[in-house]
Amino acid sequence: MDPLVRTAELTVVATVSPPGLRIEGVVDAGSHRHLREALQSVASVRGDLRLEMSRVEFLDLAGLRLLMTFARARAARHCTVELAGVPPHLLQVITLIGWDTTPGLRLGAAHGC
Amino acid sequence: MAADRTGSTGFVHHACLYGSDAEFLAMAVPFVRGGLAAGEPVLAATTPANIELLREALGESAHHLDTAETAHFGRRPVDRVAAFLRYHERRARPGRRTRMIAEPVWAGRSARQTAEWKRMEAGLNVLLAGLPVWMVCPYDTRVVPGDVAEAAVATHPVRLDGEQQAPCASYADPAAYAAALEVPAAASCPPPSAASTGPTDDAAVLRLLARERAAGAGLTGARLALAELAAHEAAAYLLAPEGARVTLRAWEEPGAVVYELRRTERDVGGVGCGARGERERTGPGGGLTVPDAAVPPFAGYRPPAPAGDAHGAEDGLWLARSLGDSLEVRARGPETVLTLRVAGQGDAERL
Repeated sequence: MDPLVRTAELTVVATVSPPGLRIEGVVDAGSHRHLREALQSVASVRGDLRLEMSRVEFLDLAGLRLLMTFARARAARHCTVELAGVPPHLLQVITLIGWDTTPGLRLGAAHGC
Repeated sequence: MAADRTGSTGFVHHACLYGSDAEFLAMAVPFVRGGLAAGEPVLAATTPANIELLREALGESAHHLDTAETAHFGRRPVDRVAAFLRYHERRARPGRRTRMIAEPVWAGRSARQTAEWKRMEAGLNVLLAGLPVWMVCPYDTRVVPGDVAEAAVATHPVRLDGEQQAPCASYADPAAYAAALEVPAAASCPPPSAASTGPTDDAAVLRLLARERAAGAGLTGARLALAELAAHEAAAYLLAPEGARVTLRAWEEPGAVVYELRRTERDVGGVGCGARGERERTGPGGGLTVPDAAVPPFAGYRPPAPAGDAHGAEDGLWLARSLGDSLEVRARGPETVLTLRVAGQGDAERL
């Protein structure tokens, strides 16, 4: 399947089983738009989604908020978003801010850094 | 029964200077009882000794009092503000005010920390404005230095003695107070060995150097990634205005990795380290050539809004403050300098 995003910094691929996205590389001000569009492209998928993040090299705070906002929007449709393979430091940041209780958000097992 | 006579439904901020256990209780007992009787959530964030005194004096009603050992209720000002907001968010009852006794720790603080806590006390008047919170900050005059007691009556609009309220004549506008506050510079000059990059508008370039220096200082794993993220968010905050460019210098000092992020809005000679006239930037305006790029007083002390809300302009600054050991904001003329210190690998609290 062709990636939804392929730039020098960021690759986002739609996944089928489980349905969702695999996010690889760097998310910062230069790629927020790409990530937002990739999320938008799966927004109409029915059921729960998984975002596979174990190959994320860098994700800034505004990028993290995009994921939280996406989860919250899914919750309004009674669906969840699982963040899988979230780097441990981002789990710390999510908890520090209090975003770990975001409706619709499920935090999967972390591995790697 | 103690009642706030200011008639305000927003944030009410009182100082209580007490010199004995009896004076503490003369304020705290009616304050707590009044709140509990009105069905208001009441928190006492004070010393363990004061919590014990208060519980004994309250008797049965002590069961309804929320307490926090103050040293652990927000270790630094940025954490303290978050702790207040979290308490209010979790405990607030519709249509009712929340009461808090909030006694900071002053003993043993460095001069710089003391100044930061004084500034926060002023900042609370701005940061919590509009919240239905009545906060009383007790100051134990047996323990606190004279300058801290003086600051108390400059950073709280009203003083509370027992149940008596009196306006503080020396209360100052919070931004003006913060701007005038002498904050001892922790900023050491970058050593000749400091690594440097920029000026650039590319956060990735700054981030790369920040990560390299943190790794060189021995940080690994999540701590390395958090140092990189803190430096990135500070840099991204400075880079937000159109055309901004930032120079990063990074070095190590005992206990910390230091990042100095310097934004110049136009091409001028740099600010020398410790140059006359360079001072903590806290006031609005202040001669910055690009007014809309000025760092507002008390910027980056409020935690980011919940998911679903828009990204706040100061969210990244808040994260840098929260992840770092300290963040200084300085300005002189067209330059803004953020100095971020991230705990080094010898920080045993994080082992």
